[in-house]
Amino acid sequence: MREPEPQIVGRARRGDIAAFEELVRGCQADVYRLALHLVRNPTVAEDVTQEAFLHAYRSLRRFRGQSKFSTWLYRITRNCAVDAIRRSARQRRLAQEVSPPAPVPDSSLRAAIADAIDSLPTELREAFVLIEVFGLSYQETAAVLGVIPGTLKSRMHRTRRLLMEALGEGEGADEV
Amino acid sequence: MRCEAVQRELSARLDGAPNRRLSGAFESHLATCAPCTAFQARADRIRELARIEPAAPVPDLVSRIMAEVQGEGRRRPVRQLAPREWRRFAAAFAAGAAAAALFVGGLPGVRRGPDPALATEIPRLVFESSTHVTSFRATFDIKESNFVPSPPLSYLNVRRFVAEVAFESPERFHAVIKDRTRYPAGPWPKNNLVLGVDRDRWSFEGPATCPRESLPDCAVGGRDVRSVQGREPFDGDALLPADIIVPVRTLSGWDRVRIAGEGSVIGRPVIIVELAYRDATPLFAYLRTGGSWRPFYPLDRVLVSLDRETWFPLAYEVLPAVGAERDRWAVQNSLPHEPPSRAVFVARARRFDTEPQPKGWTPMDVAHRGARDEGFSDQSLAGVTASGGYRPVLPADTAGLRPYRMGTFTSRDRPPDEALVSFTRGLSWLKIRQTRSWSQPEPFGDVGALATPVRLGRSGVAYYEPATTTLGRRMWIHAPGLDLYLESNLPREDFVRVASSLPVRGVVAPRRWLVHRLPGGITVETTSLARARAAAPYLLLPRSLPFGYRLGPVHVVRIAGRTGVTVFFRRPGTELDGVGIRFHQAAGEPLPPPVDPDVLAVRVRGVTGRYSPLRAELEWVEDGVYRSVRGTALDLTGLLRVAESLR
Repeated sequence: MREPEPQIVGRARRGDIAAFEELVRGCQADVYRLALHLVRNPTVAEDVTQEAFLHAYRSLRRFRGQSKFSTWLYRITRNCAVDAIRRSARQRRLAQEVSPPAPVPDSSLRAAIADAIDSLPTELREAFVLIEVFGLSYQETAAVLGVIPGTLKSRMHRTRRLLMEALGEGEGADEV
Repeated sequence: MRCEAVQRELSARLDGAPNRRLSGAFESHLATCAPCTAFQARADRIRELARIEPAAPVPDLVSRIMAEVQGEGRRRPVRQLAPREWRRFAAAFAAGAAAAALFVGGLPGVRRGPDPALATEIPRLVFESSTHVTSFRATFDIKESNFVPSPPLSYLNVRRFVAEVAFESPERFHAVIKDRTRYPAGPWPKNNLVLGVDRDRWSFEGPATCPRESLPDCAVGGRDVRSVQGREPFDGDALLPADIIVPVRTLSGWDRVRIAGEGSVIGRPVIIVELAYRDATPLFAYLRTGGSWRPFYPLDRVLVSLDRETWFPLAYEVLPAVGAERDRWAVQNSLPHEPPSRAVFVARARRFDTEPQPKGWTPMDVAHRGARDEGFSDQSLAGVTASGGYRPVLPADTAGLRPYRMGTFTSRDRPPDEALVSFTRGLSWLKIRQTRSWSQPEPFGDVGALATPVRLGRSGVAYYEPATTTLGRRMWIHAPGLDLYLESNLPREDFVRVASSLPVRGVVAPRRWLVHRLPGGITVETTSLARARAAAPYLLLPRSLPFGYRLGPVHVVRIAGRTGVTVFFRRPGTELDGVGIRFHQAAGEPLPPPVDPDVLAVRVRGVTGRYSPLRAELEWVEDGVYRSVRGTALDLTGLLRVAESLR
């Protein structure tokens, strides 16, 4: 995400709706992508994006610029996504009764890693997505997730080991 | 140090967070420990796999979000998911099927059907937008597949680049391409490129190249550094690749562009157009200045996502063409089989803006020593007038362009009184070169044998030639005591209008100017169809041509006492596909030795002929007459169809 101009953030904080729209225009794609990575469903990701901006609009006055605006917005997005995932866990039980899940046959390695990432616990997946896919630093990711950077170091190491195992590449697997 | 700790550190280093207090024990452990080296390779591979995932299509949610935000005062609730949608989402969660939705192609999803009225308007809309661009900055992520087929560069054999482009009208441009590929061991040259243009100066720096098939063994290191000074305005050789900003040249003719649909890129609505790679080459010009890149087949499909508001190309990707000829070409070019559904090249904007460049911005950061002098020197109108001994003629109508640079040339092989005046607005430009002392038996300026006459009203006759990949649309005018050469990227009708407002009266060119002498005693004479028929009574013409082709130039070609006739058919809107469809017929000539190594025997008009896929040429000898059809826009079926229609 490109860090918006501080003047725009400032104007939006003072209630300038056009400035806020500029922020939405500039950040919505990345907010949506992060949401999609976390919730894995385009329709829900759209709703999470909308909620995240609505939340940002309501709490913008409290944003004091201690962190980057993008980090702050990622944090809101992540929280909205976590809420959506919790909501869906309830719905999932219901849905499973309605229609049994059909596995999607796709043997490609891409699909394999996507599945492996999907099956990670949320706390590992969100760190992995922010660092590996979005390219955030440990410091920024720590600010988004509300953890200390050292925690991320362990999480990333654990995640990589889990993914290697999932791809059949744990210890002893053939050299690639 | 234990493996667990080393691998934890390797993981952190991959994320750019090394432990700086670590002793040399880490390095020495890694150097000798096979499991840790393997961990590193696998972690790299996972990164590659995770990042290879194409960016998902992003819907434009701005209006929806703003409607909610503006409704905040009225406390409207956030839109709730319909139960049906929730069920879908939940089911997807359970099945992991949502992954499928993520892995759809690199380009935005095509949403609605195209607007049929728009196709014909695109060149005009794109052109109009281009005249307003004064400043542009963008970052593109680029992925290129199959640069080297074997051994693979990486598991998926994808190279990745980040391109930063900055522009300030009319002629300040800077592009940096950074190679983000993780190359395997070996002297693989990083394909880092820098291109800078600043009015009369141009520079390029990239790696010294060698054939990609022989990498990395052929790499000798070193840099390819080129620079130019004394650059004339809008020089086609020291090119400013403006199509990366607004693809005016690429989309100059609507007839070869198909609207594929709509979508969104970085949250902005786009129109997706499809055209052949051959027609889209200006869009790739900034990559082709230097460095090493994979080749594309002329008929590969290029999908360009154009921003609906600004017409900036926010994404473009190349999809392999279908067919046996494409497959054969791939083999010849050391490429693996490339399925037509998978993009082999994707460039996608990560961000762009049109803010003015910061103060002190310079597009020239490559050392400028030893620059080649192109010999143009900027001058005032008074200086040009004094230097040439005449006041240059200027058009009364400049199609809204404003006066820009003018000057003279110091080069010895040019007329001593040659003057150049140029006009510009945004990305549009026009330049006029003129001389009063032209004495050569050929037209003045960069025009070839394919120019055709156009009427300019009161300004008489001009000869017009369409644009090429490096040259704009061109015209030459031969008037009593004055020869002019005009070049521009204005649409053809605007260009002709500007030329018609020149205070000159062009006359029909002397006949000997229409005879081109080529090496080997070959002469090519531009003539009329009637004269060609008289010279070659065996001449056949096609009854059936693909839509839009019209008769173009007709040449009588004389080689060593034999006479042949070449007839061209072109689509008026087509500027970049070379020469359209070319028929060459000559009596008493045998089938010449094949030029391509890979030719096919085909049945044509009852005889056995030869098809050269690379040249897109079909040749045969029929009743003692050698005949050939060549058209890069046609595949074998298309060539056979027009060949069979010859009467």
